[in-house]
Amino acid sequence: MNNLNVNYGNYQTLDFFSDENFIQHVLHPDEVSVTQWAEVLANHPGKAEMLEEAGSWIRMLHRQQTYQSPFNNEHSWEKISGRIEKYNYKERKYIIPLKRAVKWTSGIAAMLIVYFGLAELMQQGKQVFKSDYGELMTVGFPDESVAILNGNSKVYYVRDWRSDKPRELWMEGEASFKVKHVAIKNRFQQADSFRVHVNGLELTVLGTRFNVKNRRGQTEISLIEGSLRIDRKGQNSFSKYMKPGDVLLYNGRQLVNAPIQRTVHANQSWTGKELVLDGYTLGDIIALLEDTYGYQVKMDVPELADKKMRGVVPLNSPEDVLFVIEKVFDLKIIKNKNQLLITH
Amino acid sequence: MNSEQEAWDEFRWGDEAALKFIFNTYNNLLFNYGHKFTPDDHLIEDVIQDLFVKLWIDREKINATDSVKNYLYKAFRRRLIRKLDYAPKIMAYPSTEEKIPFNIELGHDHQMISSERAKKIQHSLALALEKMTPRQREIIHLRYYEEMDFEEIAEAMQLSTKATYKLLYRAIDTLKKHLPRFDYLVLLYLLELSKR
Repeated sequence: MNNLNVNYGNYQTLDFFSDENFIQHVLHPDEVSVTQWAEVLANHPGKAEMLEEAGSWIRMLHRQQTYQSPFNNEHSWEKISGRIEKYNYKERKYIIPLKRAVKWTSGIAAMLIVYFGLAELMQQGKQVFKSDYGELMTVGFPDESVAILNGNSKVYYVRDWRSDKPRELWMEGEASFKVKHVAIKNRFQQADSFRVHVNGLELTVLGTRFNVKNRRGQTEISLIEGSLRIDRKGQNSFSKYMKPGDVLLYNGRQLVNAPIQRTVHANQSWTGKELVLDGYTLGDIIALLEDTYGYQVKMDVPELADKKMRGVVPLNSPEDVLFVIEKVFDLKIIKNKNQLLITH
Repeated sequence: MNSEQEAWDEFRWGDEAALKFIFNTYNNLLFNYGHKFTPDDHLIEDVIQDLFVKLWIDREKINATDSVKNYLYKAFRRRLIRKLDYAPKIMAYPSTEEKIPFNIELGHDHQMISSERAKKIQHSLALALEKMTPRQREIIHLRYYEEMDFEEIAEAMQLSTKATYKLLYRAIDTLKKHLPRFDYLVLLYLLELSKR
């Protein structure tokens, strides 16, 4: 008790009335408090009246008559119990099944959101598409442009949310593009262009179809329709516009015209699983077998490498090509896993 | 943990009998408290009934509590004030909670040797109480009748601890202003004695 430090000599009635210890003593006197307040009284006999009065106030406030409810306790509870019963019935019948349904549907909704969110996130960043040897692969881009990859080829692009950038992608190997034209007529913007980076070149197009073959450091570009600009930035920079039907060859340093027999049609015939041989030499075919189908070819008859061919070969499998070579040149091709030996 | 808290927890787990126990313990006390605000017994009864039905409906959301009494007083008071408060619930209108009455009917102090003196004291205290605002009377009631401490009063009346201290201080101050001076009382007392 801290009242030992209190100077009760200065206390007035109201001070006693609001004193925590005094209230406690008046309402719940015990041996300790009785002794203690008797002591206070003995020390300050002049405070007797005040103590009496303050105590009286406290008792009067405390002993207010408790108002009795005019209603029967048991009866009141029955009313409550009846309402609880009604609620319980409703809860069993409607609320619990509804809550369960809401829980399930919200759970499923959350899963769907997470699924689509993750799927969307995984579309971010660098997107790489790579075809195996001998495999044709069709790649759809977010703007609905399409590329068909020949065997052993690769395209990739970096996806972000901004659409005010040229559609840009990088490629290796051979691919045929069909670019969707998204520009509004007469309102060409840079953002509408489609750009392919290959072998140090930039091919900028609007809507168009073209074929790019990039093998052994050589890049052969065939424009089927639309228009296309080839840019090389940096050293030895140049810029060249192509017309439909043009086939251009870039050897890593400059553009040269491709052999006249190489037609645009021939250069993208592979997308239809055919090989148009016009303008190709046996050497070219062997390179194709190596680049696109992954064979290692050993040529025992180098003198035939420059021989030209004509016609169309079905390309369902490389065996078709091997068969044609054997027949046309009267050669023998010995196959051992992915190794080919061409001999007499 | 006392039996009330045990009953509270059992009720929260869905035991209706436990809620009944709590109801039986507090029905009359809440009724008495409510009666200080309004003489309308039916309204008090309705508020208590609604309170206990709502407790049952919300039982899974209700937390454990240190004081069942405090929880019930707070919830009961809030519901009762809402019913008694006629002010439109718009920000521009301050709550009329200030004006909702609160009546204290003093009990008798049989410990006083002189019943004459006891009557005088009671009379002057009753007069001084009437000078208080309803909320000052309420805090006096909670302090001396319900024996709540400051924190409990603050929670029941939905006040900050600071505001609670202030309110009690003002109540005591009102008493000081309106009680007859002590020496004057003594004088009266002596006069009364000399008359006999």
